[in-house]
Amino acid sequence: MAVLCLLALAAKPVSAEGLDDRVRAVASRLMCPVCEGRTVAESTSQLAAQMRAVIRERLARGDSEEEVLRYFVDRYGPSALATPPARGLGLALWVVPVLVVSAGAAYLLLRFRGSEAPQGEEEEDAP
Amino acid sequence: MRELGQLAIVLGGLCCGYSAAASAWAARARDSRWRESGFRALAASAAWLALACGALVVALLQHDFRLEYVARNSALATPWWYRATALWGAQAGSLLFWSWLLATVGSVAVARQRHAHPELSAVASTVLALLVAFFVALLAMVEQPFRLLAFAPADGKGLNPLLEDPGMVAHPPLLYLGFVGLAVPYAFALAALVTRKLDGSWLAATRGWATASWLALGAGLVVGGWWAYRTLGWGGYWGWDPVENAALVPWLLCTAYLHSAVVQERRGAFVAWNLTLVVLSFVAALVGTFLTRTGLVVSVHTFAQSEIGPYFLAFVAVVLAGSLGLLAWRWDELRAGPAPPSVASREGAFLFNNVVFVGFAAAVLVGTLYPAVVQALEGVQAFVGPPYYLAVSVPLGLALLVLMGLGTTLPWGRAGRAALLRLRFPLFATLVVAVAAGVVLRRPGVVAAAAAVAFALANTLQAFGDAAAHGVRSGRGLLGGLRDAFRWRRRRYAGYVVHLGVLVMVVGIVGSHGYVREREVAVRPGERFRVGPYTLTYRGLERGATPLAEVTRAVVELREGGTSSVMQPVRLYYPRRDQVVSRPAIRSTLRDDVYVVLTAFEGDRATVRAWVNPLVRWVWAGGLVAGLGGLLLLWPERPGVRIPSIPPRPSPDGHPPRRAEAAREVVRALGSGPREGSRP
Repeated sequence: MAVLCLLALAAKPVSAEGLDDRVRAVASRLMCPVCEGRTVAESTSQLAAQMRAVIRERLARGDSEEEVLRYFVDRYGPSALATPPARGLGLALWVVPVLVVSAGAAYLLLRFRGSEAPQGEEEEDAP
Repeated sequence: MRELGQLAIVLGGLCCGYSAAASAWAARARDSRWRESGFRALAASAAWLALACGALVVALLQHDFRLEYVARNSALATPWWYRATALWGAQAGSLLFWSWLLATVGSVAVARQRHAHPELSAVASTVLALLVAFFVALLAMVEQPFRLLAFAPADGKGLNPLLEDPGMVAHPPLLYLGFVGLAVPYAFALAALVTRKLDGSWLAATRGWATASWLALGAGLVVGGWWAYRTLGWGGYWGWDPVENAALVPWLLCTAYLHSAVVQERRGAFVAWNLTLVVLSFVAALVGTFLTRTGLVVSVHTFAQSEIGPYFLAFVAVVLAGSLGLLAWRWDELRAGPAPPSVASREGAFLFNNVVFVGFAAAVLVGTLYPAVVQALEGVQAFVGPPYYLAVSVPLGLALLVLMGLGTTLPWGRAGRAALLRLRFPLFATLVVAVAAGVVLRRPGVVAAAAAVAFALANTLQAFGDAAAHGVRSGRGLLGGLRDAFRWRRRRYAGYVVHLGVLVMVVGIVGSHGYVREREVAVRPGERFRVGPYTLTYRGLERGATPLAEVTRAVVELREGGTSSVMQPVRLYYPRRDQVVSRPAIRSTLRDDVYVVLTAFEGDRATVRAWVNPLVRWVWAGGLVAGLGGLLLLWPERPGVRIPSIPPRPSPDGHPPRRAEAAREVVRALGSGPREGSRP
């Protein structure tokens, strides 16, 4: 509980994020159009360098991160995004892990509850 | 050489086919002579494939450019060690190497178990021989390593320059060893299903192989990260690239299996689950090989693409469907077994860890296959990049750390009051660290990670403390107590060493993801720029050449405190392959790495990217510790050491019979126990 409270306290927004960090944040959400499966943040290609420069320029001008992303999606299509939006097929990305973990946990809890018996205490450790 | 190599591949394939048939007949007729014959044929195929690998290496060393493979992947100027390791530098060679490893590992595994478990071994030998046969068929018909060129060029194109690195010498063989090693538990699991010997002897017989594969895969992943960090020049070591993921998925599943296998040994429970995990791990390893080898998914690893895709896909489908079908067929006999008495127990923590690991693997797999599926269904390109994986791995990783702590301290069976009280110290330590982190670090994700690491670490240290304290109590001293722990409870304490290494890695991963600073600047000679706490001065460019590449080197001066040092990031252009490579310059300390890349240049002006990556060394150090722990896990028991006499500790209600049984099981698992079955 105490940890949770602390977490809530610590969750205050971090102020005065540097422009560099914001550029990096946007660039890591975009795929480099000319390289094979790298984000703009990672890519060493010339185009990615130009895209990072554009991101910087637009953020410095006062655009929000979402606006900058939209600018690139308009130019390069939705495949420019590093994470597909969570609708349609993209939903599967989030549903599958949640489903696997919750189904597994539910199964285990049922099995353990089913075997809740009064006997059976701690056992000495074996290697 | 060429004729010899080709002949060896064909003969190796014939031996495999014979071995599969003879072993299958032996399993059916319970005939020991056919069984032995099948084993020998599998070993012979390994020998033929070794000869074929040797022939290809000799051709590479001798610059036999008549061979397409040699001309494409080496050059006169390639140093001899990279020529030799070009064996696994591209498609055909690495398939050959894979097949040889599989045949070798398979025949050693079968040879070691054939007296203790003759019937299991016969079926396992059939499975392994069929697997090798598939790969050899690919080598003989589709992807021929000894294919000739119409005209032999005077010089070759050279190895892909990204692969000319010490990391590349070790990374692929380790991963292949891991993939191939998983075939052994898989083959024995299938054998158990076929022969109905579902008593867990298959598990005990292959635990060591599973552990070794897990270790090789893990080491391969870490070495791969190290290679990427030093070679690819994008400032990081793990990009959630599809091919990295393809090796991560079997590793995650195998980690889950190593834990749930303990529960089966202890309780005889979750037999079906363990069989399923073993099947899934191996299929994931096959999918991993498939993704690496076919370029189905775009990635940095597209060193090798070819037409083997459809064959491979069909093969994976057959393996998956066949194995799961067999499982379903035997499902009634796979009794669920006695359930553990309580969630609040070590088996509870182990099994929940399984759920999380499998969920993690599912997420990584879905993310990796998503682009291919979308391409097929909707005809549009899509990517799944780091933001998705980070969003998934943070909560799951935190859950795993908490379970790691709980699983260490909670006892088997059911945790009573006394056992729960033993969580006092870890919880207190967690609280202290969480408060301190909340004040100093402030970011919620990092604070949560720090608290979770503290919890797991405190529990682990408490376990070592218990061992030491027991040594003091029994008069054997502090170190004596620790030595006893490693002697009598080796697997458990070796596991804790792995955990410690993982925790150090987690610290490094959190630091290097959470606190990166990065700058990209266009500079003229003499200009300065800052990144994080450091000042860098660009001095100018130096140009040069190697036999294969044009070299442009930026000279950058790094000033920290009073001292300064020179860093030289390089951009290389390889005309023969028309390929540009940026090699970073890295200044590394325990606190942080300064990582500088030359991204572009014009005249004497340059564009330079610089990162400050905190705590990256901790990742490598943690990997090293975890690897040592893994080796300890594999270290054979000394001959002569038999049933461990468990150090006397006051326990109100021990279960002596079960204890002895568990101990025997352990000894059997380590392969030094009395052999069952008879020698012919």
